Amino acid sequence: MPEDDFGAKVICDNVHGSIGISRLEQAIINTRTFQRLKKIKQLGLASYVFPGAEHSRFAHSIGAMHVMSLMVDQLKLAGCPYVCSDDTNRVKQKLRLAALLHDIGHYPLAHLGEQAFQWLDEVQNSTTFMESVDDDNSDNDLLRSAATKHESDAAKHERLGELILTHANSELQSILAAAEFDPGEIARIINAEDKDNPFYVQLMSSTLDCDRMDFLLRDSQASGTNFGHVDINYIISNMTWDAINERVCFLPKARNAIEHFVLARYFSYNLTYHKTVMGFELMAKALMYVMMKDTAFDWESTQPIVRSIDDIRNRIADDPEFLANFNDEYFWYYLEHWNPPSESKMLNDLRNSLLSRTPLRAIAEERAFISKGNDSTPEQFRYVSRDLIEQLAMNKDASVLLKDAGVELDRITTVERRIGLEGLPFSRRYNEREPKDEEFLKLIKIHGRDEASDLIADKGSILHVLCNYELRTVRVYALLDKDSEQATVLSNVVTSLVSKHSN
Amino acid sequence: MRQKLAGLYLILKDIGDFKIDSLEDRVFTQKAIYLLQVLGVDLRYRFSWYKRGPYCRDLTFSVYDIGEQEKSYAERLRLRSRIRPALDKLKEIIAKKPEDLDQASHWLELVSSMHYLKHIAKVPGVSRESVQEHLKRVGKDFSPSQVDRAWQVLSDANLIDKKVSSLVN
Repeated sequence: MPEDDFGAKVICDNVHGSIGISRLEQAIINTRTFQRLKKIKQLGLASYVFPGAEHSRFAHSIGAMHVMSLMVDQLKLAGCPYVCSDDTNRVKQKLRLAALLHDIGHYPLAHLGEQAFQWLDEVQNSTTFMESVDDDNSDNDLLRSAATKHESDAAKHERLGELILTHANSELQSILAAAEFDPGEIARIINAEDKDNPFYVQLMSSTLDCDRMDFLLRDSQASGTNFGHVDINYIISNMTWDAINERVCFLPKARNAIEHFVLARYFSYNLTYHKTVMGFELMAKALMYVMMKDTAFDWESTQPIVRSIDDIRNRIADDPEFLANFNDEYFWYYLEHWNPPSESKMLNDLRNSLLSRTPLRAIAEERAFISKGNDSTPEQFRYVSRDLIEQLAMNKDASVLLKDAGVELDRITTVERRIGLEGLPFSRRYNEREPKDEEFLKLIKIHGRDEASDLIADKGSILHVLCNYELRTVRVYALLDKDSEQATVLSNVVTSLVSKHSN
Repeated sequence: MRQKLAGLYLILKDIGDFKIDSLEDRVFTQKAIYLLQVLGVDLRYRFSWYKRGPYCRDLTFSVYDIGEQEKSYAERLRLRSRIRPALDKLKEIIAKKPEDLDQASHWLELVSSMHYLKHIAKVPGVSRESVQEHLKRVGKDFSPSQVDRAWQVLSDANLIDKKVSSLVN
């Protein structure tokens, strides 16, 4: 495969400028499966607050491929033997393909939809080992469940991506196979499961990977926020190869630029965890989940709504075209046509509020940097964390005030989020690492005189201090009547509880 | 989420008391759920190796999140009979703790670690000897008779040869 094939066509990108693509990449980009990504926004509902944040997973995927290409070229200069062999361009093409296809399995509304599917899968799975002794299937803790992070490996977008790449009817599978690339191997690289090539994990899934390097710049530029003015070209040009440990690392002079990158990543959470964006996203997640579960929703369509992960598998197997419409519009289409059960005022209110751009109201917020290594919720968060609803219910004065104002407890929820710096797992301190602990392989490494070491081990680095902390944020959200006094009443009640607790 | 946590609570109560106060309580919970999943009840927790063997961060968060609300919701739920054999098998494993080991958590740590090293970490050779050797290397100083017993228990539960595919992150 000649090097100049990577410039067979040139795409103009608003972030990186000209991006060359190969004929194989062009064929992949032209498939309906890949074009689907044009209709999946990179940042979910962030555009409800940042109007420019309309950019798609499509543009981001091409950008990530470009960054991967820059990194592979640099590693070649640095003498990495895995990209200097006779088939260098095959390796480069493989890694570019992995970057190009890394988001191919995203759900409608991206991570937000993924969370709704993980939630659904969790609940469906739990019914395999337990059952209700009564018939009460009410969703009176719907908002509180929506505020929880759901985990289901089967419903991760990486798993859906794997399926899309490898199933028998896949148009991507046949294009890749015709070019003698193994779709299974591409999926393993994307999912950081290629254990034989740990440096692939560094390029694809680490603190300084091609995904983050693209989206940090792209999200910042599109949203109009300025945190992302980071010099990734300088960082990449200082990438080198640690021959002893066979790891990608960086020259010491790039340290400041790298620290800037990591801090910019921290500030980028202001987009995804913005209080109003999060208010909309909680609503959308709850609604997507409820619509999929609503067995009465049999509105006639050529494509009934998806009911489970297995349902997606079956539909992909039966109809390769199914995926083309499985995008953000899928969610809005069904939401428009769905009639919530008439007896559920809350579901009706949720749906109408989202359609008329009225978010859940953020009533209170508590945030603090917490030292890692403590699994339990710190005391100062208890009053706005998961016990809040119980406290409101038990407090007689609060109950009366809320009742008089018409605020129902099932319309209130708390949301907890944790933000860590660098690639350290939550709750794990750097000095707790074990040899060959895979979670720590993703850390940034700086090449010293003889060999590389973790940047956060350097006492001169700001990350050395910050890596052992995480930002914990807890917010109180509520679905309230528009133009009423409810927000003021609830805010006063919560503030009163807080001050009592503080005293 | 309430449903998932209530289900976890029911299972933990069925296995023994629901206790998370001490480190040993939490180690017991981690290893018991790991083994229950290996026995075929997939609660969707995914494990990686940590200081004392198979560990799942999300499971830690889940047990801390089980509050009065989940406990009261659990009263309206019951475990399905189809998972009873796996629960009984787990209880048999727990009951086979050697007398010279003080804590049930240590015993489950040994059994689950041996299983993890063989099936998930796939230590070279994946033989009993290589697993035993690797246990020492990761600082688990169990006596030969304890290791023998753990291997036998895994074998009796048909867990030595049974393939597992989805218990890791």
